[in-house]
Amino acid sequence: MSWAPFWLSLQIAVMATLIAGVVGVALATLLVSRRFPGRDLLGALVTAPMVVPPTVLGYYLLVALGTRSWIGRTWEAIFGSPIVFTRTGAVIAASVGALPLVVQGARAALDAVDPTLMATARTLGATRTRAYFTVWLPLARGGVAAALMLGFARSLGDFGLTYMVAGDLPGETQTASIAIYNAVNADRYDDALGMVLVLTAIGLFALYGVAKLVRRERAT
Amino acid sequence: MKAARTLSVRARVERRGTRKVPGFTVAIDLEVAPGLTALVGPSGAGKSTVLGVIAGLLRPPDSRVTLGSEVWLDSDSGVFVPPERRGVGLVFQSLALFPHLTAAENVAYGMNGERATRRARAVVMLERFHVAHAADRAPATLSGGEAQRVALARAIARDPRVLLLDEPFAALDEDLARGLGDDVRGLIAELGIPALIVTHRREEAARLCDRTITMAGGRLAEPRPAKLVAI
Repeated sequence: MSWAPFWLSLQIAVMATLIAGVVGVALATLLVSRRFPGRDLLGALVTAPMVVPPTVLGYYLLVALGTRSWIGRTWEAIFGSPIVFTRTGAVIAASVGALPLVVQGARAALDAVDPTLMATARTLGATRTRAYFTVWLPLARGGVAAALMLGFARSLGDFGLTYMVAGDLPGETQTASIAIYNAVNADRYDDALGMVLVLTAIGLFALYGVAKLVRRERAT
Repeated sequence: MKAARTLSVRARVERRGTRKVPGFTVAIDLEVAPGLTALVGPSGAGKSTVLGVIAGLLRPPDSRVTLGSEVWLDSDSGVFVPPERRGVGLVFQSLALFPHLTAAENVAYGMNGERATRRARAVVMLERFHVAHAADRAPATLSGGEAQRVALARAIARDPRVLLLDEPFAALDEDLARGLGDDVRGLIAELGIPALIVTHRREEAARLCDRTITMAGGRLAEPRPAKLVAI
């Protein structure tokens, strides 16, 4: 069995982790630092991908980003290719899957930082932004890194959502999970074994790393 | 020498209750002249809330805070100077030393200029508070007295125009508290700025401070609560 789907998964997961990392940490910061109407609703929406079936989520993404949606049409007009059933679609699908894990982890990590530290930074002349990047975020870094690791592992192994939004195009959207599914479907269990073991190892390593990071943060 | 200016605070703050502590209203009108003023009262009297209003960490409606002719907060005209532009040195009861920075980096945090210059100036500040030996240590490794001195050095390092200390000596034994208290008293006399020390120890307040303001239940407990001029 070719390892191309695995390398493709890796590329997609790195991109998705970057996107989910930036968006997720920003959302977590908003949810922790501000009280506003609809905060709980936003929290629920962001967490929804954890509990809503991938097919349902995929349906929404197809409707929102498909060639008949204004987002899809605008994207195609600018970049010359659609979002859905392309690598871009696979990255978006993996990002959406990773987002709740990043937001949940980053939210808990940011929430655990003593607010008087931020207040002190402000009285020492730091703007809200500087205090955030020099005090708040560095003190939450262990928890945020753990959240990113979980997000990476989640996006690396995504199946349902990617299949719905990006399909199964070899070399373009056929990720490791989909290749394993195809191999098993064709009764080629031996072919799938290598990638199964590597994905299992990465998942376990991510969880082990998260436990280490969280323990280290608690100790400081 | 900077012209000594009086801090004037009129504020009404609604403190939301929690499951354990009922909500209450802090309503005060006070003036703090240059020198050391003690703000005394039991827990929950609203003392820390007053410090938050002065530092700009709270923005209550229907309030006004001025330093001399400079308006920091005026809810009527919508003026609000953010905490980073007020020049208030604030030391929390927890000290709030940044745990990811060394003692010297903590003190240098609020300084401007090149990294090396800031460090040199931070070490001078630490020397002044007799903790230069701890310059490169993490806050978690400092003793209570050392941490207290680093926090004070950090608050003073920016040349504040008002100094606020929330229970600064609560965690120290009596001898240490007395020594540090005398240092602070000398420093405030030298700087000539208004300084407010929140404490629940009346004897400490009487020994260190030029004036004492008493708070209870969110209000000043003086006979003339509408306007207390502490000069």
